[in-house]
Amino acid sequence: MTRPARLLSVDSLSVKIGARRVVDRVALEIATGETLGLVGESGSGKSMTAFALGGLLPPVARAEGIVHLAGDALPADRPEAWDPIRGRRVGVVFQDPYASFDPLRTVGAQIAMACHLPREAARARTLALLEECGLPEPGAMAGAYPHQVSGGQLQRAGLAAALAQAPALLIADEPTTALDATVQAQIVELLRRLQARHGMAILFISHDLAVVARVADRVAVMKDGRIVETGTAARVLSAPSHAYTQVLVASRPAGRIGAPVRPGDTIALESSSVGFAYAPRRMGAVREAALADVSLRIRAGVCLGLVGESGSGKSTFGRLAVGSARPSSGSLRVFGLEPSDPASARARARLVQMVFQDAAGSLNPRRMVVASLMEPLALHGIGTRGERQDRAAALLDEVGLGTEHLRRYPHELSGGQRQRVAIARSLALDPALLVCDEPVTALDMTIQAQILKLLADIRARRAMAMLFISHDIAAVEAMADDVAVLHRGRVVEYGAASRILHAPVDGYTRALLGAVARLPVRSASAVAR
Amino acid sequence: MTRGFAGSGAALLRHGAVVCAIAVVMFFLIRVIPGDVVDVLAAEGDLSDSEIAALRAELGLDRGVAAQFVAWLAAAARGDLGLSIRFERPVAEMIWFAVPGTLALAAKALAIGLTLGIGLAAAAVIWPRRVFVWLVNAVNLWSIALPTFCVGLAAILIFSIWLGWLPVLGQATLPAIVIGIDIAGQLAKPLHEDLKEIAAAPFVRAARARGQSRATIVFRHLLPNAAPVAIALSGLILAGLIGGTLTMEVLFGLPGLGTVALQAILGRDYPVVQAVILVFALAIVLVNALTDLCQRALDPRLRHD
Repeated sequence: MTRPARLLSVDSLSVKIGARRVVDRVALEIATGETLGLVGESGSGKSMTAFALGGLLPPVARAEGIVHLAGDALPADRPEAWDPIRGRRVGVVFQDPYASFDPLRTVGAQIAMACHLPREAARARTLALLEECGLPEPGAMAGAYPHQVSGGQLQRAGLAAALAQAPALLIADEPTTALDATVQAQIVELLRRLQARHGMAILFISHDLAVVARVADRVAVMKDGRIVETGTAARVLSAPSHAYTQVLVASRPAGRIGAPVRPGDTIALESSSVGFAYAPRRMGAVREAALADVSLRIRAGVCLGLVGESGSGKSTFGRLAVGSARPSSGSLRVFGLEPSDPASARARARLVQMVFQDAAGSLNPRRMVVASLMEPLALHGIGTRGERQDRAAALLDEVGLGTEHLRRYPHELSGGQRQRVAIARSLALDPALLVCDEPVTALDMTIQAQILKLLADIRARRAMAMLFISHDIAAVEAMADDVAVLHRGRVVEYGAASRILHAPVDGYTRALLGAVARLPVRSASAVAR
Repeated sequence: MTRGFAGSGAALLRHGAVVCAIAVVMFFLIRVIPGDVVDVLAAEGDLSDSEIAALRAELGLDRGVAAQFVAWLAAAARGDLGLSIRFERPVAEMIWFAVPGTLALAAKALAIGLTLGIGLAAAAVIWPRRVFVWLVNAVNLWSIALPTFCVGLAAILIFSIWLGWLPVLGQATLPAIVIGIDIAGQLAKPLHEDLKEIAAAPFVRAARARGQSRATIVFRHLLPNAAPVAIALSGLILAGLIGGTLTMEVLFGLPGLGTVALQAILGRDYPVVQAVILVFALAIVLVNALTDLCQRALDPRLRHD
């Protein structure tokens, strides 16, 4: 097979911010029409590499190296050298579609500006681009403001803007990370189709190995600013040679962690026909139902996985379970108590606790870890000061942290450590039911695996019931005994995890599971090679 | 559409309530100041006790404060602001003659302030040279540290007395510049901070990635996105401006609401004071309403759809 012509190559690209070298002598090559997947965790330098290759480095960054783009040598440290490149020869799609459009201008106006054509021609091209990017009503989309359209649609429009001048290289910086699974799959499909039609090269940056496996021809793995491994996607993902890549591939949760716990006789949570509607924002507006007719049951010691896309009502159900909101209809009981009843608030707090997605936001930044851990004990008048301190240390030990972390502030901890502290705090009152709302979503892949393992261990040790809320099917598969799938506030499928995740009946569940990117199963021969 | 109308109706009601509340408070407040107009007149021209009593009765000042308020409210509702006790002229007429002077001074000052403030803030973002950032900070410090009446006095001393470029009294150029710089100082610093924040926003990087030039980014993305902050600040500044014109008018001997208000307060000319404060209250409420409207017109996210 003849290798297609080299489009972009760089021998030694470095980016420094202050004294820190965030990109360290990176060498990359992308051929025309090829997709290179750049994989790494947060802080690995993958986004800075992308910015350097697009001439988009922030002013504080200092770059070194020469980027060769189809015969031109572009010094990375001279932003003005990139003026004729940006948009014209290199297009960029960003992670958050809402953040990549000016909120005050219509989507169409911004794509038209990206065309750099006379007014009428730009308008016609805008409509053509929107249509090409799979938006059925280009006219309506062009006239809409960014906040008026869905994330998936806006990401399509972002793609249209990036392709406005038919660049030879498209840099896609986590283009699907902020989107729901079904939408992710659609955007990946669209990227492939556009590439097939226009033959552009794509630098696809992602922390998600499974997504990269779907799109990339070749993969480069970054860690601490360096590229540790490069190769064909099939080889790197099935038979990684570098130790870090092996950890990365292995941290993808595959299957259940630990043996199922024998369910207890008591019922931890029972909801029957629960409905919830948020108060209308304006008088006379229709109350939109966030939940309708939700009937679920969690036995003591059992983990129920609640799956759904954003807006499906899964977090709302979590709020009802801990009593921070009251159902509009139906009834919800936690160990026989009504969680939102103020009279039972103290008893409720000792039975149900919650772990949030954003650990940094759920810990008081001005309190040391030990103070955060002692607070629930003090509120419930448990123990003397000294006993509470001992308890705090024991809790930290349970979540795998040491006494040296007691006197730290949240900002002195890593994301994974912060989530461990948040979990420790939720355990302080020995709850019998733990509500976890997307507890690993904000974490890197390798850390996700550790936190999931921790949660599974704690649950088994304490024989604790759990409501595990997540959009991530793999995480739910790792944790849950039972699964309920929420779609637009309704339970569309509910039953044993093994049944639902492997033989779904409902159409929506099937679509949801089908959209989940999975790594190809490692074959023995590939590992042996 | 009906919803929008109902919204503006509610806003109108709210604004009306604010004006009414101010009218009530100021009506009673001014009567708390010891001595009324009759005391002032008596001190000037040696009046007998019976003459004083007769005058009080004539002016209705012998009645209770509540009764006076009801009478004033009834008249004001008919558009009759009464007669000035001191000048025996209709109050409405006095106000009518004073408003253009104040308005002209405020407009000039605002024009200077907005141009200078927005210009400096934008320049400091466009050209990352220290000089503009330094100027933004300098003008900010100036307006915090130096009250306008001090700067006004200094300006008279330098430009009118030493240099003799402008007359001391009756010209509106110096006071407009003095207030204008004050406004610029209040505006430039927060606006500069806001612009810096917007310049670091992801959509600005996205616009660069789409090949937009520096000028396009500044004029079509940065400045429009800073407009909400600029307008909110301008609204606050306009409200403060009303007090600012007051002192400047008195200092530079300009005819205007400030001069009228000062004379009226010193002479306990209740109808005039009441009317001036009412006009100020109306002006501030109007500015607030306009600020709201501008914000809504500029930001599609605030529009109801």
